[in-house]
Amino acid sequence: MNNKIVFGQYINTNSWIHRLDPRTKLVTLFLMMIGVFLISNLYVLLGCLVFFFVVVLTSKIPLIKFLQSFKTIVMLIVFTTLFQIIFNRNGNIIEVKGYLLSFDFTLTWINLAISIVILLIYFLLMRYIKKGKGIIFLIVFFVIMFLQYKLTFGPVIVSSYNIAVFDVGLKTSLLVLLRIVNLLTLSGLLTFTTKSTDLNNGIEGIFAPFKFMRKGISILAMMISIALRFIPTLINESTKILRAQASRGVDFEDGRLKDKIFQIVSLLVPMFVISYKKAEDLANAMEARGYIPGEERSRINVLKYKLGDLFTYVFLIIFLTVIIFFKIKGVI
Amino acid sequence: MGIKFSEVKYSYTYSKKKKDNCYNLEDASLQIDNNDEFICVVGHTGSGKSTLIQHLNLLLKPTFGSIEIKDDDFEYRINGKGKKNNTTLMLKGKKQKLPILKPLRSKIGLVFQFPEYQLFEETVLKDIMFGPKNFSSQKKKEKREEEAKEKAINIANKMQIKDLLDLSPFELSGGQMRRVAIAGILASNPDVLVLDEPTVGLDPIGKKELLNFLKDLNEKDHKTIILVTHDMDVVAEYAKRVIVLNKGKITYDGSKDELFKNNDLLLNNNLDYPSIVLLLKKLKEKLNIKELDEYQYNIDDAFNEIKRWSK
Repeated sequence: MNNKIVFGQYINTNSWIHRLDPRTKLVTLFLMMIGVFLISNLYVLLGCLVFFFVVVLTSKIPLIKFLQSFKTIVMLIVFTTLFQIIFNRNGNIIEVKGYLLSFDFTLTWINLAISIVILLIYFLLMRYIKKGKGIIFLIVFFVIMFLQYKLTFGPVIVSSYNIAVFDVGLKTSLLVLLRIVNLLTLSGLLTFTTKSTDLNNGIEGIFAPFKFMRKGISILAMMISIALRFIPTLINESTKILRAQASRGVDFEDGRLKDKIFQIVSLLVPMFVISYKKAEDLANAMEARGYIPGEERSRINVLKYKLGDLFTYVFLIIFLTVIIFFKIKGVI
Repeated sequence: MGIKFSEVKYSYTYSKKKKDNCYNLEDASLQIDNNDEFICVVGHTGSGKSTLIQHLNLLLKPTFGSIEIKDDDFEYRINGKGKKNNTTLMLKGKKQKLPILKPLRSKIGLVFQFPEYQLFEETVLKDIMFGPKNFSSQKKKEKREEEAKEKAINIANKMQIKDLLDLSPFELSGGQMRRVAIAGILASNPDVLVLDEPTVGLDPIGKKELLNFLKDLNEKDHKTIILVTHDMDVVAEYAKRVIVLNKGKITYDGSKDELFKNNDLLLNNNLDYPSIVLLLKKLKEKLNIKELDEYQYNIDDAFNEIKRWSK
């Protein structure tokens, strides 16, 4: 019904990264992530990021698609950065053109009253505004903070609390920001260039040497692949149920929050029932085709290392050695 | 109740940048006015049947074109403008700022394919009450419950599922579940009932019972029934009007008689004759009987026709 949902983001451009062995990609990206966490120098991190983006460009994946995948966690990034800036009070206050980045706020009854009025107007108007809610909320937030900064007369509730930007705080926040973006780029590189089945084979391949617990690994890998496979199916089912309940008067769009919370049950219960039923059907289908959990299975595509994988591993070793070497030296 | 579609186009993946958008529904114009219509929507898989009926309930809104839905109390007008659309609602002659869809959805009931999956409450009674409770205009909770309960018991009596009311919906058999689910929609007393392949997966007796119940609803309570189906026998026996969809376009809208008599139309839309017509056609051809009228739509008529000829 809904064709928009594509899970796993995989885009086939058949670049050199696509042709790499999934085991190579998994190991390389995992170790590189650890490497990135070892670095605590802003410029080196920035350098890494630029390098990773160059790699993304060589993978021929449209950059816009790549950046769009960041959209979902923009809020997380913004909040972690903001909290670091506000609450990390080590070092010195930053000075810009002789002006200290330090602000005193005072909450008085007067600006509290004005703030409440503004918030009331905001919530009343919100019903009629469809677009740009986030931006308007930010503007309202800044207006309220500005009131507390300038309009400081009248009976005081909370007297002069201070928000200042410190250099260490700013540095740590940038560090956190860069690390998160680095990690995202790396994981994006994996998910954009690897099919979920390949990923699954890769995981199985990596853990193959652990023979004493091999049974568990193949079952785990199968479970992961089934879980990934069923996400779009379940999303489809949930849109169907949502629509069915909407025609029974559930209003998930304009209804009140209180009603919505009660009505979410009407979505959850059917979804549980559907998932159980699908799981049962799948289990029967698998058994009918001779699947025995943990038994050794032959496969169509046997993973094989190629020349590209060798180069990648060599590069990975160099990358890690350099980072660890400089880390021990204390340079980065 | 009056429903009017004017050149409705709908695309699931519409984008302004794309030059050739793929439309799942194209230039659909139709009018449903009478109170006692029994419409069958036919067409093969992917022809846009589900898309069309979801527009009736405004679960989907047109990408282009307009829909007007009028009743005594309300009047909806939706104009599709690409990704956006204009929805206006007149409630009792007054224009509303927020075009809420509840009044519409209480008057046009939509039963999806496999409706048994939408059951979720602890007991059948509660589940049937869910719809009327949501649509109720009563402010007080107790009154709302009371009103809903009354409606639910009423409809349960009508559909002969009274003894199931205290059971959990998950203990029921497939056929019973489907009845309960349909009762859940009917409980809010819609004027138009839209059903998406309600007989799929039912045993022959259950199927017959359900269809006869719908026929009763149509004839005795004067409710408009819109039925999506693949089964030409159902069309032959029950439909008063047939809408044929092919690749998102309405290729035929009229009586079943005219449809079945037009061989090309059937072939072009991947449809077939109902089995009774097929049988009579074969008889006529093999036994070379010229005066037999093969267009009979239920067994009794067919029998009478053969009897008439044999005399």
